[in-house]
Amino acid sequence: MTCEQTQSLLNAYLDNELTPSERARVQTHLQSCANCQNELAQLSTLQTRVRTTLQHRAAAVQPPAHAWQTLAPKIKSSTPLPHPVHGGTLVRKPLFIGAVVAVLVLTLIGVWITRNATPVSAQEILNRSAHSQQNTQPQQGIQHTQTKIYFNPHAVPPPKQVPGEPRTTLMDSYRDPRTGYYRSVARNTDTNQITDVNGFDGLNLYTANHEDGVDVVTTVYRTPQVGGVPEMIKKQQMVRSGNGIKDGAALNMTDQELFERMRATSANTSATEEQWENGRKVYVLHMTVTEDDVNKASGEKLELRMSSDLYFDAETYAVLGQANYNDRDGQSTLFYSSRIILQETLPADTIVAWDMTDLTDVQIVDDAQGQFGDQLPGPITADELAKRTTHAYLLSAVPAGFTLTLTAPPNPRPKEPDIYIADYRDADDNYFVIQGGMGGPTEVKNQNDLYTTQSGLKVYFDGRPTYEMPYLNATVVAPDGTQFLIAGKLPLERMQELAEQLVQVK
Amino acid sequence: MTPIQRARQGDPDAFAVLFEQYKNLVFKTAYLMLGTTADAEDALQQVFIRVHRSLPEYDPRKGAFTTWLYRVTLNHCLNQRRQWRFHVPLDALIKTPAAPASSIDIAEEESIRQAIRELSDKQRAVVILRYYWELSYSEISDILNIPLGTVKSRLDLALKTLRRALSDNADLPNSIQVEVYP
Repeated sequence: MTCEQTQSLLNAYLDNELTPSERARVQTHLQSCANCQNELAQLSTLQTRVRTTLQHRAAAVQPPAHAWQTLAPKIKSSTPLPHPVHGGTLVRKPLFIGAVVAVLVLTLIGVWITRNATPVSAQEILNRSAHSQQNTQPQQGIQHTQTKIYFNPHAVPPPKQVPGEPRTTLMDSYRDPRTGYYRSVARNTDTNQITDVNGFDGLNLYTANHEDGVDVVTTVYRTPQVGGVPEMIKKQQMVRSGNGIKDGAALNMTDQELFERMRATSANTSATEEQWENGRKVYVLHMTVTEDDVNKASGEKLELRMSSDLYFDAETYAVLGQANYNDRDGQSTLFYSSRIILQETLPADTIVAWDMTDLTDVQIVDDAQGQFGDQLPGPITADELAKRTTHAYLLSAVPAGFTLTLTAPPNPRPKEPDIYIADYRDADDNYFVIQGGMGGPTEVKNQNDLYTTQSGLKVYFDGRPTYEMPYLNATVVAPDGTQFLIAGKLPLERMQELAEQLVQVK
Repeated sequence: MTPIQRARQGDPDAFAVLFEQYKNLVFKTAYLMLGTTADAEDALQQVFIRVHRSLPEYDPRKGAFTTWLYRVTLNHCLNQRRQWRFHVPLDALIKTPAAPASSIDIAEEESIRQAIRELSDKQRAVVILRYYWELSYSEISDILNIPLGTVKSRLDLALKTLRRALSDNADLPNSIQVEVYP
């Protein structure tokens, strides 16, 4: 393939609109042609700028509040004739960009946490949202939440197929915001068998041993924590959501703001009302998300069509649940739902078995060296980190006005010496975070926003910051294959500037 | 029954729901196409009057409602622009202040804005559908009723034009750099 032929395809390449064979040929050419790589980078920057400009412009204007009042009398005079309605499912198309970004952001943060740096219960995001005032007022008492989770592996959109049978679990969660202790136990509602356990009793973390292809948990690791309780556990800043659950606190806004923005921003979000299990009124936001993906096995391009219902308490706007549907071939099949069915604050002196001793159907196994269970990250110096691994990257200097908090598992597993979190944060909570320990090479999905630093680091920005969701994250690939994540609440240009300052610790 | 199905049968409440649901799609597309809120507001009214009148003609089997709605909106905008060409010089269009941008270079955004405004109407339409609404080439092809290859070549051309316009503007002396970081 010549440079000219390649360059005529670069735009469609960035837009993910090439056939697999065209794509492969472009990639092959790119690997050996600096000129076309440069062209690609320029085109990618241009696309990003065009997007940002359009988003800023559109975000600055809203339809007038009285638009319907103006329109209603005009259309009264032209009532349409009734028309026979044909069957068939309407395919709803436009993307809600913000929601997609949020999903990407949270999924990515979710990836960090599942990389066992911060074992926060999967349900925390919902719990936190439901207690959104917590950040401003110290809570008295112990929060108790019950969540019903339905999961149907068969209906998960390809290529994300997972084994297992459809199941409903009930997750019982307790949290003491004063101490940071938490406990979460899930049981299959049909068999009453335990399907997940995790918790923190102030001294130990509890992590379920999930065996491949087995839903039932019989072993729980008890891993002593030497680093104390990190502030982020107390503040509940970290989020875990492999499920794309969105909530206001995770995006630095109140739940009501999240609701209003989601409702207002998307061309294709609609809101209805429903009654919740406990009789309370909830608002339901229905939204459609399409996502391009590629079947790794065949290289076939897949367009995932999913829709999602998000349930907000009509009074508090707390996020009460979510339902995800796989919309394929004109059918909409529920594959995941999560519904908070009980929420209460128990007296502060309520006795909760944070140490899991009440669980008679699992075996608690001591994991003194932290080789099996999760570890809360503890403080570490750059020198100590450098002794562990040569694959860690930090900024060459702490940016003016920022402070660095560097944490890592106190006892790194032999295979994972490079897990760490470098959190640069200023007084306004603007941050730049580096997360190391991505394990082996992972597929970099989004080629759209590639930025290459002077030192040859390839920074793949995933998702774009928008007016609504000013977050950015990226996978960084070093010339030697090392991968790590960066995330920031900073504009793209500033992120790129900081990426230029990334250096290997020595 | 969906609001669209009910609206097609003449249910006025359902039409109000449709309006709420899709007013942003119409308004924002029109604003990005036409450049002023006044024109976007007018487009919002005209497009929904048209939609209301033509709803019985809309056949869900032939495509998504949104495809049809984008088409009606863009047709309205293209007609508007055709009329203007004879009346109003483009430079007289009012500038609406952008949202408080977190970008460090306001001047650059302004030059992109201007470059987009100077695209041909057809090119601007594909740019908005692709880079604002993030629609796929095949969706754009359905909306504009043009072949896939034309979507691709039109986008290529639009980006080339934008790139040329931006490199021409790069040396303007009045470009202002705003540093918003400590």
